[in-house]
Amino acid sequence: MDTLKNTRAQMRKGLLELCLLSIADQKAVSPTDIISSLKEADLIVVEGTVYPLLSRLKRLGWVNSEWQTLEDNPARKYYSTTVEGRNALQELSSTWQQLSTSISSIINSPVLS
Amino acid sequence: MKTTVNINLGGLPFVIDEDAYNRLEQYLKTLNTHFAQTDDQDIVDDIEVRISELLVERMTSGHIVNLLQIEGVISTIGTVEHFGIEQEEKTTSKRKTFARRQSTSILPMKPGKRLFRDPDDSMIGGVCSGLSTYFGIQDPIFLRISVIVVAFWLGFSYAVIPYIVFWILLPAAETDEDYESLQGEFTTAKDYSSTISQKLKARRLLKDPLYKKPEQSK
Repeated sequence: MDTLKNTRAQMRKGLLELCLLSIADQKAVSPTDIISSLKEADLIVVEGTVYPLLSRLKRLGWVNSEWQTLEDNPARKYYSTTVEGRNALQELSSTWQQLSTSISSIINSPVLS
Repeated sequence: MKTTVNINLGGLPFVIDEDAYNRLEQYLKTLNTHFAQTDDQDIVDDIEVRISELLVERMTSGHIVNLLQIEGVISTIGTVEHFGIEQEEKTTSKRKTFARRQSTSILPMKPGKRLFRDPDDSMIGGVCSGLSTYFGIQDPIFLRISVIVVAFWLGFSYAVIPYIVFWILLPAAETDEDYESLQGEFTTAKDYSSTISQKLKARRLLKDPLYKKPEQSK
């Protein structure tokens, strides 16, 4: 049970990074924007998951953050991908494409005897 | 009658009940302690901003934040244990170490510091490199040369027999915590920082089956 939970969490963690990069690549986004996209896609359970991942991507130099103020609202931090982040995103998404094709071919194919 | 507190959260002012305030403060403190390990104040700052947004969503303006609303916000954001995998990994490996310690706790040393063989950096059994790390000697080569010198000077058995005894008595370091207690640096929220975690990261990389170890020449 614990192992299953662990495996599932590991799988999701790697893929969430890919999703985060891809969301932050289209335009500068606030953590709130990221959260709503991920929630819409049913990828996260609690919102807190996003923050450590975002911080990790920042430490890797894949995303940058800057403060922006919209009208009367207090300043908010916006994240966007760096050049390295964009390269990483390309690599990761092509890895994901390959993996998903390979894996579904294994999972869905009947066992060969 | 209830006491209220004025707070500034993510750049927005709130009036909040005292019990709600205490709950919120406790939550933020837990987050701070947890993320102190990663040296990242950004995480907690960002979460504070999110809390303020969620509170605004839940409130009608001019009202006072109560405990129910705070609990609601906390369950939306989640507690540290639900954030991700990091925490789980740690508890499982700790459990493993604890089980091992109970069965192999020969040679009890200073609390927090324990002797292990170091199979990751070994010529024969990792005894010299384990002892070197334990006593803070930079490079195990000094101890290795001493052992060879002793072997030739005093006779072979003076070096080989103690070596074999150590080899048998010392358990091999396996988990990250083993390596930490070998160096005598214990995992507390604050200590788990820079140098040691970098070393451990390098180790983990070496242990990774996908990482090809460079051929060691003897």
